[in-house]
Amino acid sequence: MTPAIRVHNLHRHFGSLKAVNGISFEIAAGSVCGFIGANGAGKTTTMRILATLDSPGAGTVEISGVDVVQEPWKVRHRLGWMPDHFNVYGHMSVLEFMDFHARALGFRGKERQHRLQEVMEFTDLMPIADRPANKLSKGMTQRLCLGRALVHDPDVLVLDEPAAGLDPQARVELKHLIRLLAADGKTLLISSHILSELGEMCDSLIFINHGSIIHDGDAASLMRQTDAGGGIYLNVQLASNPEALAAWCLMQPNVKLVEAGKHGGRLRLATDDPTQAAALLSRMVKDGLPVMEFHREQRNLEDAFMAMVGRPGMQPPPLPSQPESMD
Amino acid sequence: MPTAPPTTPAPAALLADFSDRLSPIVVKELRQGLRQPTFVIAFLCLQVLLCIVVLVAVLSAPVGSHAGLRVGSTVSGFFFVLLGIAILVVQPLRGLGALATEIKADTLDLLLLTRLNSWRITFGKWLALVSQSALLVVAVLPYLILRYYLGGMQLFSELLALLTLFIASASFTGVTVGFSATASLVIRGLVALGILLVLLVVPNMLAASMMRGGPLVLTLSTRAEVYGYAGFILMLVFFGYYFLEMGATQIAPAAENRSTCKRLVGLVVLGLLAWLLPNDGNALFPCWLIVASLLIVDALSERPEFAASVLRPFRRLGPLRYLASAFLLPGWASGIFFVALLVGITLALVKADVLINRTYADELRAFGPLWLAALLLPAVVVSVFMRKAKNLFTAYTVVFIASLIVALVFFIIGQTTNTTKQMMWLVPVCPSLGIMSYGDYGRANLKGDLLLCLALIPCGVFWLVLLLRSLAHWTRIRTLDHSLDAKPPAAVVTATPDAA
Repeated sequence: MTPAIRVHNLHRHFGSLKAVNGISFEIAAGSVCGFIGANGAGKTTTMRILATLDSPGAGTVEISGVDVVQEPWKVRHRLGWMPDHFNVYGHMSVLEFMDFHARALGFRGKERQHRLQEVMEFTDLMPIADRPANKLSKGMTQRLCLGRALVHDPDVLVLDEPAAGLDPQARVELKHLIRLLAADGKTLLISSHILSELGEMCDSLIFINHGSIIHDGDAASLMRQTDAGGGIYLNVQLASNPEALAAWCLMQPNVKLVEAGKHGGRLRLATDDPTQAAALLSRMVKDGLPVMEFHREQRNLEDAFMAMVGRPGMQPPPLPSQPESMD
Repeated sequence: MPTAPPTTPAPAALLADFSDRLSPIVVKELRQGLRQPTFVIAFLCLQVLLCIVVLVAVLSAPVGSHAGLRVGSTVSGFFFVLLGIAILVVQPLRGLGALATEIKADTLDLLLLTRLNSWRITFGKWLALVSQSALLVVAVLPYLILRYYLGGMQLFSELLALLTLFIASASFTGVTVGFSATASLVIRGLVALGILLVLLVVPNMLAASMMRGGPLVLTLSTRAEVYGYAGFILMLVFFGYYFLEMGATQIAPAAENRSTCKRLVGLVVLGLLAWLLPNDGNALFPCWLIVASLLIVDALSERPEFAASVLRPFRRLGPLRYLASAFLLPGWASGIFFVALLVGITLALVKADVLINRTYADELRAFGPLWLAALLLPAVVVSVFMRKAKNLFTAYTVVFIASLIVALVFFIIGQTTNTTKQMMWLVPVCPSLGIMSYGDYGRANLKGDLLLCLALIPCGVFWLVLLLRSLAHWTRIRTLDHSLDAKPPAAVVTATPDAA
């Protein structure tokens, strides 16, 4: 079966900057893939090439078997693109904005009206149809942007940071829409910084760093791949003086403060023996730390991400899930 | 997509304000444009001012009286001045933001992802502005009818002037819409300045003409006048088209080829001008020069990058593909051969006494090479020293303007120190100086072969430098061509210089 997205040996350089440096991956039709990387890692460049908005320096990119360079027009019929920054026109209502894009995508007469009705109901834009398009909240603007990307009912959706800047409610709504689209059999490539949400929604995850792919597989394989050191993660909350926790950790062997919080932080204990956690708690109490909360946590995607990109001089690990055909 | 059946009335059904047959971009621009304060204010001001002028005229002189005839001419003057300001200045100036706003707001990408290509976007924006200008013209027609009853109206001349004004407005709007794709504020500011100069010159010219008894007295009574007018309109139309194409080229993705069409249209326009020229007594020769110069500037300042798919139509031409590619592929690499073709055609037509009569041809024989060298110089500077310039047209224009300023400085120095003749030795490195001095010392003292040599040397040298600089691009184009033979497509698929 032809993959929905196929990228082979893709390069894109801007002068001496290697924004994308020979990446290859495939995304099966009907699956949801998370595209993760730090700012400047090459996510948006790759996505813009997929959307035919930029040209590859070298390599091939295919959407549903159609080459983005050879037949960009065909690709645009099959792909919906939601950019990270979305601006709308002044002096236009939401409905007029959607109507313009429906016209521009070739919808005419009743078909256009029916399609607009369908998309605007799906994205819940009906109640704000008469509002000026440039006077919407961030959440509404993102829904408008998604609605625009869905007008021509594309098979593949490329969403660049769709949840950036959204409040929790808008984020939940967006997640719901993405789930519905996935259930409808669309192929989605989503970039985001909110890794926990991607982990829930995505069938596979691609990590990109400095223009190279450092992981391509599901969340479980990512955890395994980055779990070489093992360890136990603990969430500790103190009644007062959270700085004391950091100072105390410095004195302890095998204990590292992974993430400081307002009232405490997350610790990593360099052992897989659960009894050591109990001993650690005992030492804390004994040393006078006012522990209010102490519980074990699973390693999350953020930990895995940091393990992947956080180590200086790290070489990209082998890609266990790379299809053989790519070679 | 899983959706509930529609339960509420479709608001989309209410959106029947514009026909489906209209271009989407025209619909969008009209929806936005008709609500913009600039248009509304221009429309209302024009109506109010013309209303006042006509009322005053009717009240001050009885209809049909001798005084009425004089007042009628004055009303015509006001009519054309006010309309001229609205459609020759205000409307074209609005075009300066047409593509710039899309680029600035990052909305151009979304447009290019629809079925709209760069030409349809640019043309649609222009058409929407011209439609609004047409609305302004139509809205003032009742005042023209009222003015008719005051007497003394040259109906044909005034209607022809109105048509010319409208075509000039459309052409100017094409220029500003085209330039609106240029990121440089300096360039766009210079265009705005040019339009404002029109504000100072044209309305005064129209008013003076009207006071003398006719709007530039466009009677088209002789055959030569008709051909001359047709040639002038043809040039205006090409002028608008050229700049629209220039704007479209700048926003076009690498897979879109705008150059071939533009160059072929340019050749057709030159062909039509060559047909019209002998019939109007060669008065249209400047039009030929302007059209040819625009084509040369464009050919020399096009970005050389394009996607492999651009080569496909050329490959279908069989053995002719190499010849067609050499002249018509996008980019300045083929542009230098296209310039050579234009020069060849011009020389052939001059030799055949088609473009210009022999007396003028002899007098101007060094002028052509000087002008060509002045146009080649910025291309050489850009290709050698400004290779990383993002927008070649902007870079070219900046260098061209700088070369004119340098030439002007030398010219003034020569004039004030009486060393113009000695200054002419700088012509090989500053050809614009030769043009400025041409009517003075150039024609009088260096009329012979010396000035021609001074003009031909930079032409040849500049063209050869460009040819050498283009070799790298031709190598890339050949690689691209080969990549289309490979199945699956080979690694390198674009001619971007930064390709891996």
